[in-house]
Amino acid sequence: MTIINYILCIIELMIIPSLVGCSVCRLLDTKCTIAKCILEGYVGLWALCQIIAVPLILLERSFLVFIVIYTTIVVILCTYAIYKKIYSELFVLMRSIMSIFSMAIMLIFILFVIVQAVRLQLTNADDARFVVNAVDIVRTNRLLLTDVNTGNVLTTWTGDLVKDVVSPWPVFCAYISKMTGVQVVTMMHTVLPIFLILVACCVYWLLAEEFFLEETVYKSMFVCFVLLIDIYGFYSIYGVETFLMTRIWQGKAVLASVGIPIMILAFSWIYKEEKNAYINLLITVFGVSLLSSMSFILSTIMILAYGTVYAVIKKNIKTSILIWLTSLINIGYLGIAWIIDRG
Amino acid sequence: MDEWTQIHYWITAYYGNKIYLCFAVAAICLVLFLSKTVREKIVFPYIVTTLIIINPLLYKYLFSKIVYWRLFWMLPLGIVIACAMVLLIKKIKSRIFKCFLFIAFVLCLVTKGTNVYVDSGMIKTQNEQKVSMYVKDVCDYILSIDEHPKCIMPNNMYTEVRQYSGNIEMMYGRNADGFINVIDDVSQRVAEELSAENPNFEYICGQAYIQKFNFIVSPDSKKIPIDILEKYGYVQAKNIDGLDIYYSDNIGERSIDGWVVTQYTPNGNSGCCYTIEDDNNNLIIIDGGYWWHEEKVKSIIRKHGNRVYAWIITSPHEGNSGAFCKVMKDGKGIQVDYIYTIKISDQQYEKYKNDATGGQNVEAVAEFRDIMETLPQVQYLKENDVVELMGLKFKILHVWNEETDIENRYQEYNGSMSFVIEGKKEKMLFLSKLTRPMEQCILNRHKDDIQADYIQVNNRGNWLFSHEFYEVSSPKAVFIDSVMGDEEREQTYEYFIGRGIQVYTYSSRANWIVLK
Repeated sequence: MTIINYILCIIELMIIPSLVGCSVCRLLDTKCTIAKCILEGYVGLWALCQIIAVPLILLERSFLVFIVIYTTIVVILCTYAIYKKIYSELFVLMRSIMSIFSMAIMLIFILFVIVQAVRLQLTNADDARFVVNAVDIVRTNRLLLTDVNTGNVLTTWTGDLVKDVVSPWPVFCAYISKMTGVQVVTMMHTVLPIFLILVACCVYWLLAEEFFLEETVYKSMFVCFVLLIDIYGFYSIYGVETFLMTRIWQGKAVLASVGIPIMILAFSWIYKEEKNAYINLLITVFGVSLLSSMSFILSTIMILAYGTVYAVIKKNIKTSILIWLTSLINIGYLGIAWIIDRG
Repeated sequence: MDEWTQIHYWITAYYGNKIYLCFAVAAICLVLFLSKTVREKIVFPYIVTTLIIINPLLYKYLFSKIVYWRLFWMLPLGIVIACAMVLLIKKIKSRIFKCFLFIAFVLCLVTKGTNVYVDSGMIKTQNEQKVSMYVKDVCDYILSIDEHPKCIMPNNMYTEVRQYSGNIEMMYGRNADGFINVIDDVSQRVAEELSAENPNFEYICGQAYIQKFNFIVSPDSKKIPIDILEKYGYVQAKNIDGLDIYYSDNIGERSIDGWVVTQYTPNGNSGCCYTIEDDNNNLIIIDGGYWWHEEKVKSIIRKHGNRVYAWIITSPHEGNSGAFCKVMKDGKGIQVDYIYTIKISDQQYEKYKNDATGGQNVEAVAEFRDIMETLPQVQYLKENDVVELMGLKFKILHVWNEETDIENRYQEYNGSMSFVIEGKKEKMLFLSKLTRPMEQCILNRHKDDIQADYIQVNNRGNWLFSHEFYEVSSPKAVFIDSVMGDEEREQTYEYFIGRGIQVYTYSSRANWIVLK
């Protein structure tokens, strides 16, 4: 990787998501903090990718078409953030956050986990599908129409590849790789974990905000504890912590370690009756759909559970019904997968 | 009770460390009383989610059909544990005690937990791609010779090779382990042979040569004999990290000088599936096996660019036509240029229905007829028809006719299409499911045509044509579409072996010959 690649990675994986996040926050009319901007940026980009990529895959359009449409919308969102000078809010907040000592310890923790993610490697056989799919998208300019085992052209989707049609996480990875000029496997194994761990930490921080409000010391402590549990949480190969630490670049790992906490956060904002929290939930459901086809089942169950609790606690059936209705997105994608599978 | 057992199994497997689960339960109980906010936002939804997940009824009808343990992802317990710890620290007034408790919690996590960096098998990064170093070395070498190499790799490499470079085409990948999509039998056999203690290198190199794979990578503990390398035009190019790399520099220009005929081994003893391939990767399929062989047939077609030049269905028996019907019904993305089969008239079908006994699948024959009616590329063949396909001449010796009906039984067997395939120098006789009573019909009119180098033995070795018939045919190899097992087939097998004839059966996966 060259210095230009590093700069492009920072632009593509840090600055653009932050700007998009600012725009999303402004559009949702909510508070614009660093953590929230990064998080909303990523969720927004995932949702956008999901909404654009699935129809293009089904229509068997090229990767280039995706790049053009996706980039255009991302540029518009970034321009909106810059034009509205939302970015300035970020720096004001940054100055105030950085002054807090407890955050320094938390940042050291985060840095340690990120360094370890770069320094260590673990071969995982599932990458034969997840990484190779993205490799083939960049190489062939076709969206998921290559047999990952052999490299041969496919005329239709078979086996596990059907799942990727409705949850095209590899398309997102391929896009980032293409835009930064970094080899796909390097992007997924080495670069992406840095930023995804950062996103996970943003989610922990925002969850802490829900539990401990503005008490920065406790919020930092919470993030430190969660990271410590992630490090010392290798209780089985199936656990969320294991997926976060050993294979965060895979869509299902992002779902387990980032997507699910984001869903919890989205529900939490609904419980708090934040402005436009429902629209945020819709974006989140779309965004999480990109990660793995398992998200259709997991987020549907969560929608059901959290909606029910909301109905009981808040005694507000109308909002609960709206919450439950978001599961239609998942049902729709499941239906598409079923139709493809049945031919 | 069975569901409970399975649920318990998965809980135990997921939360391997019971201490962690105890911590989490304690944390949930604590949070339940310590914070209203967390109780409402986390604990109550967790309880409802748990009730949904750990539910034998839902498990039985829904969750057992998916990867069940992933449902536990919806309960990120680390968040609750951390939350409970912070809430406890927050509750304490004294700063010293706060610090003490913080350190105590950290020590507890460190001593009771399992460190992912130490115990998960993670190693120091070997390269920026984070693939095994030997994979990178081998790929770099191969790519330095050919920008778009075609490779056969051992099982410790095939998951990583295409991550490193998509330009490397592989015969198989993780599908050899049963993942991602279905693999064809030939590739599966090559993968198995390469992993075997004593690989059949004749099979591996033969297939590499036929399918024009210019690289074979094999552990140096299993050397490919020089005579086999010379026979197929490979040389040992280099040894890297304990792996021998064999290379052929002119594989693309070499001709196989004939047609590759492959006998597949569809599930079920009555299934029948053959392919014929030429030098240009064109494909003829003969039958296809039962409907449950559909994915295997699709995997064969996939290897040929999802195009079938011609598909010959010799019998409406479900062991011959089942997979074909299923493929054509789905039909997505597959192009079939020509379909050849037998015509079954309404009268013939009615008579067959009346004659059929309980063991015969009349519905399969009906479905076969219905599907054939819908396909525009179908051509019905008659006795003595001659069809030229991919440079081969197919002469039809028998179809469903009056003689079939006169037998008054097993018309889907006795009405099978039989033909002789003529190459440049050799012939192959295909007898499909014909039974002994049909022998005379062929001998009466086609005695001069049955002499062949290869024979697909009639009706999988049961109700066999007479020994005289096979003596007239005098093949050098025969294909029996069955595993051995019953007495009659064993006798058939012994008969051919006794005459020095090579016998291919379903005892070995995907047998092939080159028809000259």
